[in-house]
Amino acid sequence: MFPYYPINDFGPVMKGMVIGGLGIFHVFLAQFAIGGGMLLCYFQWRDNKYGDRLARRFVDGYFRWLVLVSFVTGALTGVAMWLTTIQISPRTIGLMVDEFHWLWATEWTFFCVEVASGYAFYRYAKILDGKTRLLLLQIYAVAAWMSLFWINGILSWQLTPGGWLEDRSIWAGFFNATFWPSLIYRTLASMAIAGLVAALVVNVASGFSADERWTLVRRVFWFLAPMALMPVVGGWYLAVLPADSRGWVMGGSIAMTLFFTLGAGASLLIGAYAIAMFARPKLFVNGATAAMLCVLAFAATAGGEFVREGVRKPYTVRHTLYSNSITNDEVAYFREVGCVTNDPYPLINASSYPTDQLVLGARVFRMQCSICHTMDGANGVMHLAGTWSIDQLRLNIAKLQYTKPFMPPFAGTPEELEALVQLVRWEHEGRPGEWDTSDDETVLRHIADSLAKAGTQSMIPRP
Amino acid sequence: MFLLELPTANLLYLVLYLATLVLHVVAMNYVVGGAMVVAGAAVFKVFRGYCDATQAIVDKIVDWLPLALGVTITLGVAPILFIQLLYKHAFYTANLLLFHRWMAILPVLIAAFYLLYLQKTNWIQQRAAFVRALVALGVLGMFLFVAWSWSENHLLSLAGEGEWVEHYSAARNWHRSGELLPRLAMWVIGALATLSVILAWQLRGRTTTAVVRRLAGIGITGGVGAAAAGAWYWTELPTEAKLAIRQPAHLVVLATAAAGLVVMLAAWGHMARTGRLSTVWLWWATAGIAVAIAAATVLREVRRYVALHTVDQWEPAVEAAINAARLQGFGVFALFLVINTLVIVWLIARVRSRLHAHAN
Repeated sequence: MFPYYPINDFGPVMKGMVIGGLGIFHVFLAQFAIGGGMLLCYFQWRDNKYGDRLARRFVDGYFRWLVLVSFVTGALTGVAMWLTTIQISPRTIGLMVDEFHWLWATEWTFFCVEVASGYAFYRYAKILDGKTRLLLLQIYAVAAWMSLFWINGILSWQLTPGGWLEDRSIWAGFFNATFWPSLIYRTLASMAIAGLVAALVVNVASGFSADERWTLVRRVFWFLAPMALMPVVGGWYLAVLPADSRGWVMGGSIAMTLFFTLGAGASLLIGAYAIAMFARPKLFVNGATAAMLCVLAFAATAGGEFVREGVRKPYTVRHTLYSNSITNDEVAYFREVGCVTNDPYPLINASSYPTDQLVLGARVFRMQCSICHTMDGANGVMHLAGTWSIDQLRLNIAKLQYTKPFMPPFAGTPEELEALVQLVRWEHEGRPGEWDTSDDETVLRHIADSLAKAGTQSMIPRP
Repeated sequence: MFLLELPTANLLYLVLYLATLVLHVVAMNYVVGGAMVVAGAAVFKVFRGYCDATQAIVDKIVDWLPLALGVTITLGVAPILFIQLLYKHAFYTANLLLFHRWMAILPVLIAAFYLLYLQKTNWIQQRAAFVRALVALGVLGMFLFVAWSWSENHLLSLAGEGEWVEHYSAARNWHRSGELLPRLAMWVIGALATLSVILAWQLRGRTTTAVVRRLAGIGITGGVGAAAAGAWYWTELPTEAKLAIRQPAHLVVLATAAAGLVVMLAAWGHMARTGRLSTVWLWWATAGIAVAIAAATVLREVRRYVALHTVDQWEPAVEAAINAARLQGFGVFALFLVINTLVIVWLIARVRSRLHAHAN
């Protein structure tokens, strides 16, 4: 039985923008926390090894920022990711939980270690000896990185589920093709973000002299050195992507290519600045430059996350669940019985539609399209298909996976498809008060033929 | 008893859900109870100053509240995970139906979190009493909003498809239920009882008679208040739920909860009379409140069982959990649960030993 959920209307905002925006923000904060742990270990080690009191002062000051930003907003945006995913695609998060709950529960045990070690350091670091301080920071850093390890496997599984498709083995799904390059890339990104935020904190924090700032900034910038590996690891990631996904990044989908370029370009600029810092020993990064580099790092994160989300299309879990939360088998089923026939949730504003057919069309739109499209806002159907002729609409929607290979096949009856077509035309005409119902048997027969020719499978070949 | 009728896989998930929920509730009680005490004291101080005992209690709570909230949120992750396995459809549906209203808990919690840190700063200590009272009331209001939202979400998840469709059709942002207020009152007032016990452990060795009596007052208010709110809640429960709770096995759980509460109240009564925090009596109070919370959490599930059974959602939920159940990965979880628990215990012990060394 298909699990129907109430679907909310986000107005002119595309749902992907909501989860994407929050996701980018959360990933940036989480990576800051992971890299920050490593950075603090290094400085505490310097204090223990060389009696570097400046390093110790830096640790105490930076950790306060880490707690205020990462432990509060970072932790809560993590919860927000979960709750927002439920709002956007409950079935996707449900499947992820069903498959990986034990690994998620494992990740949770590391969250607990992170909080325990983090707060122990936050409260007592000032009166603890160097060895205990370093131990706490090491435990914190390992726990933070392990949380990345677990979530990385689950997220990369969505794009490259690999052997899981054959036998549902969670380990085959977890250690999938993109697992290692993604994990290494994120680790490098975490170190770079931590270094850049540290450069900003050193500049804005009171209590450091100009010389001390200079020394600290140059030291934190060494955390950007591993970025040199990013092109190799990024290339590895691209190489193991499915061919269709790679094709979209490499020019097949201009939005995807642009975001990829944004991410790569921003990373390149940061890398170039880091090289300049290493090459010119007298170069300093002031607060404004550090802030600009942090913005670039945020843009790089945004580009990377957008691409990671985008190249999964038409799936949220490749070869398993389409973006609109319908499985392959259900496409065939809905072609027979209709996708909204058993949907218990009526339209909230049904009275604003002049005919029952338009109400049906709106319900089909809500179920199959609204996850990625609005009617007239971001990624609006009016912008994409408003000018199509009526026959073009019928054919293109019936053969949706042929029209665009990153679209799922239409999952409904000819009547539902025609209702959707009429809805698009009606919206295009400015929602007139009267609208003829289209019930021509010949039209429905043609749609049925087109649907049959299109089949129920995606255009993305399953390995 | 419905627990014993569950398939093994469901029972395992349910036990983990309840165990992690109890941990979450204990931490949450410190936060909610603490926010109530701090807000009450701050308002009181607008009109007249308070004694050293109250000051000692407020200082301790204000100092620990940010950590307590961090722990509460972290411990809340596990029950949210297991509830998705057990009651996915109902939980997701309630989330979706409450939409913006439900999602508002996140920015509210972030704001409350930062206000807790603000309460610790010298800056706020130097502000006028009414400013501090406003901040403390703001924090409390935010936590009560979150508590209200969770209760509402929970009750809506029990409502069943008929009510869900009606809620959606009417584009409602609120779910009204007669159970909401008494249920909320029981958990919120009961938070004071947990707070009193944890605070007593925190202040042990540095207490005066006045502090002990204040703590006893908080604990007894929490215990008696929760019992009274529980009685009110009983009157609002549907007949099916009352019948289910009257079954012998569930009556045992109810009696256990009551016994736990009585033990806690007796322990606080004794400590209030003597004016001394005795370790033995504090252990009794701790055991009492722990048993009461655990039993109340089980009774909470009885209510859910009855509600979902009534609206034909129980069998599908059980079946869905069976389909999702798998052992792969369980070993890794069990291994890291043990290792990471040991790591946490070890690091706390290490820090404590260093603090003792530093103090001496």
